[in-house]
Amino acid sequence: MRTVYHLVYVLILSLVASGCTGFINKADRLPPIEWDAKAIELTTTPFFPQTQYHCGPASLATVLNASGLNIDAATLAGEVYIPDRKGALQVEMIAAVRRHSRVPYQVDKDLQSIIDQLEHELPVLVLLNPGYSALPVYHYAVVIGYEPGSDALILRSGEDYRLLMSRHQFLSAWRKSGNWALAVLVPGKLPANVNLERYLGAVIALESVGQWHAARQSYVSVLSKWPENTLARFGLANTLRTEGKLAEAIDQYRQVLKQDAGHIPAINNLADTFLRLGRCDDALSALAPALINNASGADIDKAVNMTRTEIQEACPDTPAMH
Amino acid sequence: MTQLFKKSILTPTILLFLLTILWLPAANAAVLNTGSAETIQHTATADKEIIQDFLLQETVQLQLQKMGVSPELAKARAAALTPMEQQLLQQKIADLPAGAGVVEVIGIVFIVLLILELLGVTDIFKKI
Repeated sequence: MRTVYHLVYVLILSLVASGCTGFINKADRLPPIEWDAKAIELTTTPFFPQTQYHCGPASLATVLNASGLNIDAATLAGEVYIPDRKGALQVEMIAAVRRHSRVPYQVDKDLQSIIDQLEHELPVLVLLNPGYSALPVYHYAVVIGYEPGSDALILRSGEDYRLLMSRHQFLSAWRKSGNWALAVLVPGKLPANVNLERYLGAVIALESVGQWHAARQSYVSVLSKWPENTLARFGLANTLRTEGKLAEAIDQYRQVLKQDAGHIPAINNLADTFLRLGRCDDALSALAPALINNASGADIDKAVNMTRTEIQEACPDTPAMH
Repeated sequence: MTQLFKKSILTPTILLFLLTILWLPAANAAVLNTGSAETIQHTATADKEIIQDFLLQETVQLQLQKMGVSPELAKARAAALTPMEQQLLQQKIADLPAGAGVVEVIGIVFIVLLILELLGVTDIFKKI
């Protein structure tokens, strides 16, 4: 009997919550842990109230506009909303960030890391599940602050310009979404407490979808802090080369090789860049170190062999290579 | 007679109906998983070497279109994904966390309950 009423109660709550509003599940009763974060609120974060089911595009508009862009939620709906799913998927949210020349950086899965980003003036896009694990109600929102007095997170969420959500409820809803949090970075700006590997992964993805300029600026920002980072240096060289700045690319490839003489991809790309400039001899001598033991059939060796063939075809006067 | 009818037939039927509907999301997910698992196997064996990024991209584009995204938007969206992301969508586009689709199902249950109440069948709740 009581169970039935409870069921009806849950159903009413669910109905109220249909769409992507962020209703609060009464069942969340985690014991509060000690917490001594300072007050913070990014008050200038813009707000895009969601229309039905469109919490994805609305939250995305909030973080993209906060990063200096001027784009509305309706446009973004065309980039992330899936009508049959009545929502937006995380991978497409990430891809949309890239499409707008921003670096999508996944924040560490603890609350302090979100606060750290806020202190870095970065609002944080989060996926919440205020429903149940078995009956999830996924909802995107943007964390913009923390209020110690009420021990609550401040969010731009759904139709709420300034939603206060107790830390408790937030943590529960966030946990049930897998603690997913994303910072949207202007190329050249690093997140707080950057995990270099994860950040470079995001930049490489940015480069791979053709955002060379944004990727290049991001590599430069890594190198300004970690000049010895070979991967970022190699990425910088590649983006320069793709953008047609061949002389600068050559300089960067050479620096990579100064740090790591056996960096076959850098050797190959350097040779290829020389070839594009018509510098046959340089291309040939640059490639030479890669031609030893290059018969494994791996992609990298295939590329080296292809470069060798290209040099031979483009430079008829070159001596035969082995 | 009416009372007997309610107790013996209507009550179990409605409870069963409710149970069925509440179980729907899980059942749906299982069916979809079987479909996507087949795709994975197919990709992993015979076609692993053949399927190029391009084909993967086209698959994702078609999936998005099937789910209501317009063709030109779907094309641009599939192209904006890395191959790894395309693979993820190809396999799990129906299962990955999205909006509030499941809540809708519960909403429908509630509407059914409401109708039952209006029809006077809600007595069941009070007399069990």
